[in-house]
Amino acid sequence: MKEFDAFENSIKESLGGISNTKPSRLLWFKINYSLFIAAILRKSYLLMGSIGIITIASFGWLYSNTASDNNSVIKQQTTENNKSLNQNNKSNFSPAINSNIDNDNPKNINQELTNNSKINSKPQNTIADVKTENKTKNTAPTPQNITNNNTSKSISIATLQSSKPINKTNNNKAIYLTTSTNLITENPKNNEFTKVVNESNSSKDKTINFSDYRVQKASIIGSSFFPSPDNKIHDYKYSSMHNYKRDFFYDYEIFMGPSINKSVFELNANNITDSELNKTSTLASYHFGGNINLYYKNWFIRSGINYNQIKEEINFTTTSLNIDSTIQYYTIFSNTYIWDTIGWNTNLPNANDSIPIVTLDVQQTSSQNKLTNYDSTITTQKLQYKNTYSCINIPLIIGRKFNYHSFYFDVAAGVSWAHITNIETHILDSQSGEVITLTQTSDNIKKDIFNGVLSIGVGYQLNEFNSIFLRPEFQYNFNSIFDKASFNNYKVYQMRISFGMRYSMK
Amino acid sequence: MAKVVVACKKNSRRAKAKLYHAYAPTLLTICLRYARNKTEAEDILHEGFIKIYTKIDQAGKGSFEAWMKQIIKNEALQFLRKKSSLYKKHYQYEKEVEGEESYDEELKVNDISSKKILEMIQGLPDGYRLVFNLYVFEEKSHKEIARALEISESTSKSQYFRAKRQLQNRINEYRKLIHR
Repeated sequence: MKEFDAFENSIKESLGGISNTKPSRLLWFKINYSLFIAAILRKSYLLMGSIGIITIASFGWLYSNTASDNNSVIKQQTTENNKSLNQNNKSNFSPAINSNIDNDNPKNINQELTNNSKINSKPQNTIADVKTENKTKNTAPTPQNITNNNTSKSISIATLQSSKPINKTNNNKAIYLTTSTNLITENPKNNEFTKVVNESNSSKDKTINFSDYRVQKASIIGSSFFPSPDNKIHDYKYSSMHNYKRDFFYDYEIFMGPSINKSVFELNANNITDSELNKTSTLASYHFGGNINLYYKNWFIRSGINYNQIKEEINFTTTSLNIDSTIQYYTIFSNTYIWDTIGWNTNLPNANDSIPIVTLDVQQTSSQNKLTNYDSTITTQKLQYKNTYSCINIPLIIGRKFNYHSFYFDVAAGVSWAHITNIETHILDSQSGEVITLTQTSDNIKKDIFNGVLSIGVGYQLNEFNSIFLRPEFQYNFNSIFDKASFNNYKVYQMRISFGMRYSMK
Repeated sequence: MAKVVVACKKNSRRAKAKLYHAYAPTLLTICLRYARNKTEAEDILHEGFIKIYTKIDQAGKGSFEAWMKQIIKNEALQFLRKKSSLYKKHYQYEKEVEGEESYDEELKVNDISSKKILEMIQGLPDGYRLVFNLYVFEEKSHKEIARALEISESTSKSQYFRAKRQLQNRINEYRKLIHR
């Protein structure tokens, strides 16, 4: 018992009599709020939500960026197209013959009829070279992905020091120079610990039995550090200690989520010369599926099957020159007047005079001529293609997981094989407003595509067996979807986010 | 109260509120001894109650109140440790009190109210107050204090002595003030 001096005792007594102080009302609310936040954090909802929001925001950013890029291209081209449309001009060729031939006008008889209808009517419109703009800017986002890693139940058992026996004797006895006992390895994350126990309480240079050693393995449920009384302790012989390394395990996962897609390709210039192709809006689609993850320690191989939808929108602008010709036919009538003297009239007042008697014979001939008027028009046709590819994907991915408390993170990369089962195309003619829907798989579309896949992921272990995860994933075609006859390097970038649940098999 | 504790363990909100209202005043009084003012004391109590609720499963079979008090004291200790200027202030105060009046073992404070004494203790530098609390109210030895605060035993002793002397100075000044 401590001895205090008078001053110390006096202080103690004085403060002993102090009445309890009521805390402010706000404090209880503060505590409640903190507990609420702590609970949320424990359940990781906030973290997962934040990751989700950030990822969605990233998607949005990518989406808007791509859209704005494409919009600028569209605007520019629309202006150009308008200009082209306004050039609906007539050919500037020699004027058409307006010569109405008046048959009744004798003055015109000797008129030399010249055919002015020589047509210099080459259209002066020039077709501007339409360059194909390939916005093949790679807007591929950073590859992302996720994985789960299960809490491995592997137990690393401490080795006994100087565990080699010097002499073996009958009865499975051995002499140890030194023995260490109660070697414990804990794996609190896995709620397990292993303990090597020397039951004989051996000391140095003591002859002991192998059976004196046993390995205790306890599974701790619901506690990170201490076993509950209900937990069973299993005893194993020392010789079989190493059998308890369980580095291999596996789990199942199901997932679904949204994807955004962007197509990148080039026109085959040989086939389409006067056309312009805009790769436009990044479209959203979806995917769902299931995987199995096989683990060796922190490494894993992931494979499974999933349905993957890819959507794309392409604005296709064709510019063509139409030359309309108008043919006019006209007839030129020619009259030939033949005066013929058939006699002489002598019966004149002046007897010495005479005048010839003539007859007028009119011979009319006609000839038909052709006149061609040319009228050229530049026509721009804007077509919008919306393609939807339905694929069955089989990934094969290798990755590494990292554990942090109840969370796990993973990075992975691999390949996936996609089989295109269906393609649906909607073609909208913006001028006529007509929509054509095609559901046939074209012959020039390759049905099997190989993709590169990169992913990062984060998950939260809900309990020993179940976890939830969020996995952003980036996928890119290795080979072109179309054959080279139609397009060059027709590839699709796909960014997808998978939300899923994982069930571990222990 | 045992029922309340059991209900708290089952995460009953009502039981938690009951526990809080029953013990918060007592625990706040402890916090006040360690803190500089009521705001600081409530901060300690806030952290302490969160720890109580989250670790209630670990409460032993002994007195639940003692367990809570221990948590609050530990929290107060941690709180003071976190204050970065703690040791700096110790040092400064050591210099200030050098050469001041000597310590009077027989000085009594019966004529001064408990509230005023508490205020004076709160006015002590953090280090002095901490050592004083641990020694006088928690009845820890200097060895235990040294271990808890990670200081030497002699430092603990000197801190305690200076705390007492500082407190006496304040008491004397207060008395002079009221007797004018």
